[in-house]
Amino acid sequence: MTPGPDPTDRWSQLSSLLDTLLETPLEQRAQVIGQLSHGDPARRAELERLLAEIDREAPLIDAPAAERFGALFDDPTAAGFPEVLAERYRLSREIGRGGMATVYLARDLRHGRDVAVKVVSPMLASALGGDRFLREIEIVANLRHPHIVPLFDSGSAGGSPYYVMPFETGLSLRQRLARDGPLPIDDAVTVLRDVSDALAHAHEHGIVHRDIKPDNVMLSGRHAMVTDFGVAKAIVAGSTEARLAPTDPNASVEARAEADTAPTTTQGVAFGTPAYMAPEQIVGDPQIDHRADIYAVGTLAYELLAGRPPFVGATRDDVLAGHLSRAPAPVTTRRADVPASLAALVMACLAKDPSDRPQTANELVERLERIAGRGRTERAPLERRARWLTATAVLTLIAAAAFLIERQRAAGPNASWSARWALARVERLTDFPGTEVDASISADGQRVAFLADRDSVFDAYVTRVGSEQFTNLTSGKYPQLLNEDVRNVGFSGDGASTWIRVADIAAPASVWLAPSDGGSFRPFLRTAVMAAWSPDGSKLAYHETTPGDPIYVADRDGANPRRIYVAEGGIHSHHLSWSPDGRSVFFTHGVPPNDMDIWRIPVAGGQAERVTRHNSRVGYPVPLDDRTLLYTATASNGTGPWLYSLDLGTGTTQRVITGVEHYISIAASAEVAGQPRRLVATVSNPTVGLWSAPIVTGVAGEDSARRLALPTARSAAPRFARDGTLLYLAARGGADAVWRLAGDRATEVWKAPDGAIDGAVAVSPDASQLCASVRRPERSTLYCVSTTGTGTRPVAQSLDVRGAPSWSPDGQWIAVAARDGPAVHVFKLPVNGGQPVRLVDSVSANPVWSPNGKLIVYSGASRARIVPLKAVTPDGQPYPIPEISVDRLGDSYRFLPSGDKLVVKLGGFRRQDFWSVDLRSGQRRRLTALKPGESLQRFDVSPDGKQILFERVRENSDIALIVLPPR
Amino acid sequence: MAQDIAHVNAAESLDDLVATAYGELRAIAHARLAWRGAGGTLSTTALVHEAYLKLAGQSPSKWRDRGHFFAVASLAMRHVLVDFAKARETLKRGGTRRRITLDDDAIAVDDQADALLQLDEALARLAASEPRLAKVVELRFFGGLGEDEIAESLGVTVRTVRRDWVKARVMLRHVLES
Repeated sequence: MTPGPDPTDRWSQLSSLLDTLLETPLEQRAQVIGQLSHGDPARRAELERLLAEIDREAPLIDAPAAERFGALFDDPTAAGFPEVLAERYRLSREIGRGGMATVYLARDLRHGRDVAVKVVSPMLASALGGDRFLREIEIVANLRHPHIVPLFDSGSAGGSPYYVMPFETGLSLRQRLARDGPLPIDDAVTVLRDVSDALAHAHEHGIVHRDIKPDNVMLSGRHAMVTDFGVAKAIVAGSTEARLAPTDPNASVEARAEADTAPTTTQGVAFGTPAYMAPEQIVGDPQIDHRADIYAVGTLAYELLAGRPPFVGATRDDVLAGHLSRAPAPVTTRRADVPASLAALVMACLAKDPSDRPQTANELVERLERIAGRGRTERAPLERRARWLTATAVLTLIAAAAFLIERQRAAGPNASWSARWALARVERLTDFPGTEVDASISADGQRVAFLADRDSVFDAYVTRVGSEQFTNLTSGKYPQLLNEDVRNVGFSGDGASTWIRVADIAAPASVWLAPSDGGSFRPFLRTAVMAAWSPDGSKLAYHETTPGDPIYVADRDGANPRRIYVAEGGIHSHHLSWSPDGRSVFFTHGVPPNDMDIWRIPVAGGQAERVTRHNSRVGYPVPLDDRTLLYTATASNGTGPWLYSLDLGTGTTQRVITGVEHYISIAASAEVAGQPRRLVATVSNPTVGLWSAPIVTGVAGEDSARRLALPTARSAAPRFARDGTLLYLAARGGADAVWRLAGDRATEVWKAPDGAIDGAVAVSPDASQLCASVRRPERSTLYCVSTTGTGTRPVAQSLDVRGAPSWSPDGQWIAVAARDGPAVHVFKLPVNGGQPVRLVDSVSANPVWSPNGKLIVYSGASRARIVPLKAVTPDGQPYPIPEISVDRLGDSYRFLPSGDKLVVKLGGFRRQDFWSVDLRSGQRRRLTALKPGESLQRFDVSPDGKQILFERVRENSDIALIVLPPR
Repeated sequence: MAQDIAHVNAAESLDDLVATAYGELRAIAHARLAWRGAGGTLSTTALVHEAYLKLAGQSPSKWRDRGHFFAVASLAMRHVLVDFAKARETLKRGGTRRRITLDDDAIAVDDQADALLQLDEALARLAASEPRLAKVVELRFFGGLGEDEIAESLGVTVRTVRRDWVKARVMLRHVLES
């Protein structure tokens, strides 16, 4: 409203205007506004704004003051981080505060790790009577167990007891419940097993937890860990001592507090959380033993499965009364799919009389392991588990196949395929922990080969379909078996031999052969990446890694090679596959990983022709017959890869299976009349998350790496802004969007207009703008937008950009790679318009501007997946740097803030670590020792140079067998 | 049952009542907070109801009815919070003031005292021209009361309470911006 000259006038005017609007029925308000504005557009706009304000929420005052401003209740004298601790721990920030303690994130200077320092509030400390608390805590410090969060240190600082624990960035079980609701049965069983295992260990040492609840269980990778062991006991011990020594004048406040909040008896003190307290704990039974924890596990299990604890109520007393005197409703009444054995165990734990419960935590562990039906120790991460081949997935397949039939009929077509897809049967062939990829099937459909990291490195396995026996052919002897861009394993024409691609990351590949039933590998084709035998077994096609990936056709034993195709330098040809008539070879062609399509070339010689038009991550062409081609590809919005079918006659493309699972590879047996046709696919449900590792003087191990707790699934491609916020990519149901994390709050700020964000965003030095390459099948464009998601605009539309851009530190320029002719080159372009300038004339990509503005590091032409790093000054002069070669996948290099060192990602596939490299001396230092098996992709270094934030991908893949009935 | 809490019976002045409620709320708040654990929150509603059960049980004669108590307790709760905030601000040295808006949905720990004082002041300004609207905000925001209880306390209908809340929200937004 326009302020009137007299404030009283102004408020009364506003008041009566609001009265008028509020008294007008909704549908007539527009009309009333029309009348009130008397045709004055400015006045009308004001009134419309006012109308919008009527419906506007007021988050600041929507929750009661004591909740919104809860920090005001905290004891202000507790605010300080004890000075005595400053020598050992450098305070980062306060991460939580409650009546009991203040929790700080700090740096343990002696050991170079992040820790949580919990300082008991002085108010409570005075009530606790000091030393007893610490004595109890120290007993717990001796506990060492994989499922117990260890106590690093404890002591007393300025009269306040404190204790130090590892800083966990994973979700607590409480947060996971809040985010996802009740857990899948398998996950719940896993968590309960881990918690019971931790309790069994503690109970053996005579330690009872007394406060088991979702807040005290942390999810860390694939484990659940119990935290705050012994704290409850220590508090009770401390306060009991204080009570026995009433001469302490400070104890009175707290004693009164206890009298008000915790039902006490003359024998003891009750401490715990009402929803999870055992009856004997509530009445303060001094004889309380480990079976109180078993009761708490029952309440925890109940909540994990049913989404709520067994007893809830409006008041604390209601809840406590439930534990004391009411029978809990059977958990199956709240969740029907809880298996009977599990439900029985949960209800037994909740028995009122301790002697009616399972008597030891070990018994719980055993029963839970039986329920899980497996004794193996390796498990998929709890955060998200691959569980793709459920009945639903099979149904999806059948439904999708039915859809395909309809489409094919409409397209005029190949009725036999439709009928066969409709009757397809899908089975899971492998159930290994970890990743299984790149499945091949022999022409006779009897054998399947694939790579798996079951034994920590990737090995080649062969199985006979139906045998459930797997032979590890390589047993760790060949370290670099997996290259995600090519086919790495397969069968000879007769299936008697299995081939693998043998390569060191820096050496050319060769193809080796071994008997499929086991035996040693021997070199077969010295310069080939893969081999594909023709359908009649008489000929062999393979490609090399020399520039242009030349394709050869040779005799079945590799003799008499004849080159049939070579692309320009920088263009790759992978995934060779013969047409059923043996006359042509299909292959993927382009710039891996994301600029690929399927091409075909006649074996007898002639022109290669492009057959698909995705220009995305396309792989594994599999001709099912002379007109149907199956393959994997990512969609134009960046999702997938999915399985597609192309009708070569009509050019019609469709997605074959419409589940959420990714199809990473596909292969098929030969068609034999009267026989079922077998296909094998690698199906995955990947876990993608952001992790941080500290940059310390030593090497940061896996135990110091932490997963960031973010509200988004599949968080990737981190970029720090200088204002301390973090920008990253995450998908919610579809294509990636840009998210912004400020403090603890993540919000989606921008989604590409159409198409997928390529690489990562770049943030302007003043943190106000971001830009990103947006991929489309035809042409990719650079967009800039504010970091709050407003003002989207394309920049330098003449450039067909590739990958992540990089902002100059003065904010005036953006460096980005773009396709220019057949190859990709690095350009710089003025942010405020003007012509792009080509900075590098040779093949170049992934520019990263140094923080001091003096140079731009980029990657040169790749060989296999290896790219050399080079540098150029902003005016295009070559700038000498030491020799560094890195993997092409994801970001491989970022600057440390000083600008004289890079953090680079080195190592083989899924065995990568971060190193720093001094750009003057070339000196390298290893920064991390992370566990292998997961792929590290895009990353960034924090503006203070103290941590690396990286995207970690775990495929969670399995091999599926798809059986189509005989023709 | 329309009433004005300024018209209290002679035996007990409003100030005394508020002081009694104030002491009780502080004590209960402290007791609860001592046990809530890190990151826990305090339920104002539970607090006020607990105080009611306690005080009404002790001396039923002082309180005309539940509505009367809630009105007093909300005012007391406002005093409790404002006092905490003032104590906090005197501990704080310097620092810049950030203007709050009704759209803020999380206030940093260090800014809470200042934000609450800004809100208290804005509410006082609103009360100068629209006392009932300010009272609705006080009952709901400081007292944590539901619409029924606010209606009972002010002797108006629930519908009026809803309408007042909407109007108060807009007015308060303008007061904060002015």
